[in-house]
Amino acid sequence: MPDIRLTSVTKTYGDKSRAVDDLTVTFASGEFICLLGPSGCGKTTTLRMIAGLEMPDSGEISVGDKIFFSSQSGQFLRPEKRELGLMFQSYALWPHMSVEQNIVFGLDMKHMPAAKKAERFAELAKLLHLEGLGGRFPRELSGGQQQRVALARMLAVSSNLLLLDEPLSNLDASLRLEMRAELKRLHHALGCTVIFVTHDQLEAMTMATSITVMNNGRIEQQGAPMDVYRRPASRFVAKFVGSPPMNMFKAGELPLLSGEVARTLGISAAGMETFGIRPEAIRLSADCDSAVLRARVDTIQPTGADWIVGLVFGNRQLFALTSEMPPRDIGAHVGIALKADGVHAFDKTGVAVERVS
Amino acid sequence: MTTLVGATRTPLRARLRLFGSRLACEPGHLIGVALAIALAYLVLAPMLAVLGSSTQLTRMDAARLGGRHGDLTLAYFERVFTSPMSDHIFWTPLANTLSVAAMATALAVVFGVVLAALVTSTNIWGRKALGFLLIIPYMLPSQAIATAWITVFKNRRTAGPAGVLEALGFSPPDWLAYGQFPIVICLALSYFPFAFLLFSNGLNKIDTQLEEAAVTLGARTRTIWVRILLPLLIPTTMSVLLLTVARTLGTFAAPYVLGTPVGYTLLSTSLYSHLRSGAPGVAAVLAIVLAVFGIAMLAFDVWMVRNWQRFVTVGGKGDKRQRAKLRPMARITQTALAWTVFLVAALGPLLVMLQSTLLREPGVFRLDNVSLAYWFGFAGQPGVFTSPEIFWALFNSLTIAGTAAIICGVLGLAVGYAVVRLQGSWLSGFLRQVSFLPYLMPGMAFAAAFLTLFAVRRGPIPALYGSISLLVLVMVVTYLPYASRSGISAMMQVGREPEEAGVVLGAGFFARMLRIIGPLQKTALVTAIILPFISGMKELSLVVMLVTPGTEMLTTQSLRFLDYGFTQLANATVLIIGIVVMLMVLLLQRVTKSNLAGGLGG
Ligand SMILES: Nc1ncnc2c1ncn2[C@@H]1O[C@H](COP(=O)(O)OP(=O)(O)OP(=O)(O)O)[C@@H](O)[C@H]1O
Ligand SMILES: [Mg+2]
Repeated sequence: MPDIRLTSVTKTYGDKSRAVDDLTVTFASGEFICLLGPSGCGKTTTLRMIAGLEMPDSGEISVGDKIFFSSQSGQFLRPEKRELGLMFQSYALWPHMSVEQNIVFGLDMKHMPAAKKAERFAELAKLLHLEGLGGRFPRELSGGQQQRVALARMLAVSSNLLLLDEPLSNLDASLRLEMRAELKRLHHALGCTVIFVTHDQLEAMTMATSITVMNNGRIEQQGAPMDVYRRPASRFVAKFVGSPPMNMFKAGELPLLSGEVARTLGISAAGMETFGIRPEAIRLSADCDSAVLRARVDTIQPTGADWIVGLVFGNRQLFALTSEMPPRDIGAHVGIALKADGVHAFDKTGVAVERVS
Repeated sequence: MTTLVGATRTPLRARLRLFGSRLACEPGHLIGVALAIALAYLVLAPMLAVLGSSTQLTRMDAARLGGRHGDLTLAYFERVFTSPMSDHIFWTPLANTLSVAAMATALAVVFGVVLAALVTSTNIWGRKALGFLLIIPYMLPSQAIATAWITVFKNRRTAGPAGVLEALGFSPPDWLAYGQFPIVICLALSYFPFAFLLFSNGLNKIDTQLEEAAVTLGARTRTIWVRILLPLLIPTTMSVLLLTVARTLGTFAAPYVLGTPVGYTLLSTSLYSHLRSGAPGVAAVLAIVLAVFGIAMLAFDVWMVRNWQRFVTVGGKGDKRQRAKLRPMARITQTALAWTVFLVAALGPLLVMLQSTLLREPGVFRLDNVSLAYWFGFAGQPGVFTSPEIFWALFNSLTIAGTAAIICGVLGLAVGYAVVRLQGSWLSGFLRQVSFLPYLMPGMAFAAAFLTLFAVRRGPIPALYGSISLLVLVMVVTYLPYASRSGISAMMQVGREPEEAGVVLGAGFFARMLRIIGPLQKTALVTAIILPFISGMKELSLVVMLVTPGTEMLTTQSLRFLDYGFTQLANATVLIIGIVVMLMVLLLQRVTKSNLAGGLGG
């Protein structure tokens, strides 16, 4: 399957602000792409426009030389002709049909003979561990099973592009972990392109081969998960990706700290409007006399593997993440050192300031 | 430059092509436009027609007053509001209407609140049964109680067999037999089930934690009711008031049966008599007055829904209220009170009507006087089972109400479909508003409007007066608010996604309707058909002006019988309606696996 290309796609609902604003992006073939962004940023709208359930106001959507939509030529390919699979956040299983009827519905629409349908169902049931559930109705299934039925329904009609809208958000934590693995396995086995919508940055980090971060109907950054994490292109991405979130400060707020940040990055403090420090980039030391920066320990939250240490620096609070036992107790002062790869500076427009390393 | 693609204007041809694709992909557009045109015509055109007929000279008046047919005139407004006749035509009926509406509504609300409180929140005997029995008057046609009343209290003023009391040797005075007093009582008895249902639901919806919070702060039962429950019921009270007032304003049966013999007229009976006596201009003005009341109430209802959100209790686990344990004496008296209401409002009228059809001589309670003569006919007189009038009336009622109900149910779901599919567009909003407009509109006003519009040929639509289709149309429009409301909520619940899942898998419009939307909305559709059918079977005020000798329905036929003094046949006809309606209610409960009285708890 060729790449999916969106060019200047815009979508407005009513006369309110734009749900998707002049979006230009290419989703590479065969990737597991996560569309990541806060609630209301236009992820579902983008997905629905690719699926053909929503018509953009303007722009062009194409897959290779097949045009899905173009406002210039007036082409619009009907959803069923786009040969893609779509899975809804609510699963949208039909409650009045049995599991098997749900799954083979797409084959029905292609007038496939009964024997072949049964064969395909058996195949899918095996792939998704649904054996023996064919006669049940959706309400008689657990959340995880319902989700696998929705997956099977989407996969029954083979397609090279799968669109998934927050498919894991209704599951509990352990099931979610299991399904993540399942989805990755499927992607690997089928080799198709997957566009996966989520607002959970951890989910995106763990599953994607490519992350596209959206905000306010626009793309903030696109790249491999670790690239997005290590080199956030904007203040928004820096804040949104990572947990606990990056500590953010105005440049003028803490002169001592901003000076140190500018020095670490090798840039001039003048062009810097805000800067951020990842919690794990803060190194704590018991010896605070020789350290340039000093902070008071305010809170300590052990998470099992790590400690989240709340620090007070000047009159601001910041968090550090450390895998070693914090060197001092609450109320005591510690020395702080910054690791260069976890420190980021942004200019007035929120764009990352290039480091001169 | 890629950004230029969005900035340049798309060519017209491309836009036309996209418009075409949009129509093809979103059947909601076509359905919505078709519905919008049909509804606008059916709802708005009658209103305009009535405005027109109130301000234009009829042929006869034109000759009399020396103008031309169709000339603009304020003569009808003057006649209604300021002429020497205005007292008789408008002001007295208005005063009567307002006083009757006020008193009947007050009584109905008091009955409703007290009974709802007793049934939902105390341990009186037979609560469960009462929950169902108390809404029986709601299932009877509106003239049932009036007919029963006249059967008992009728005196020599009117023709026909004597009333029960008269036959027993008493002679009921006029004030007891006719006029304001019996009208108020009858209306209160027919409308309190409504208040009872709404208050019971309201009480059951109030989070019990709100009361428990008060209990822990040391409040007594009385304080809880006065300070917490009743204030929380204010929105319910207001909607009960609105609905009951709207119904009393448009009510026809009781004032016709009990008021006309002594010349006690309400707006509705005044409108009726002017229309029947060939004064359509005056009737149109009266219809406008009723419609203005209707619109005012609708506006108030909308305002209330918008502004009283703060009364909607947030969250809540919806537990059943702890039932107050009444002391033995209180328990006995209050049980007696609740059952008495049932006896007087439901069982009593039914028994009165039944006995009248079984006694050859009214009021003579002797075994040798009991006979089935009125059912099977005697001495050449047809009985219920042999009367062609009743047979045809039953046939008409079933066909008219049935057709209207099916159309209404389908339209309701179609409106729901279009509204949900086109959510956010102006078309969706328009459909919602227009289909809701007839809500709270007095039936008489609507009927007058329809009569004006369709009495003559209009463009491609032939004159419909005297045909069944006029009755069907007017019923469809009147019941549409309820059908489209339930259609919208049913479609909202299902949402767009199940259908879109089908779209992506290649299901065309008809496949989606047959295999996805249809099965999912089966119950909603049946409900949306049965409810209008029940209303249609009971309908009187809406149809009484539109029926003609060939299109009499059970309700109107029963009035004719009363007019000619055949009290027994009138009663039997009402009983038939009651039986059909109750069968429908049972069917409805079967289909929806719910209980009409289900909100009553227990
Ligand atoms: N049918 C609609 N009518 C009007 N506005 C809409 C509609 N669908 C989406 N919007 C608006 O468009 C914007 C983008 O919505 P979208 O559903 O794409 O967000 P999202 O990123 O999927 O959010 P979430 O994570 O909450 O699902 C939102 O502001 C939303 O209110
Ligand atoms: Mg979404």
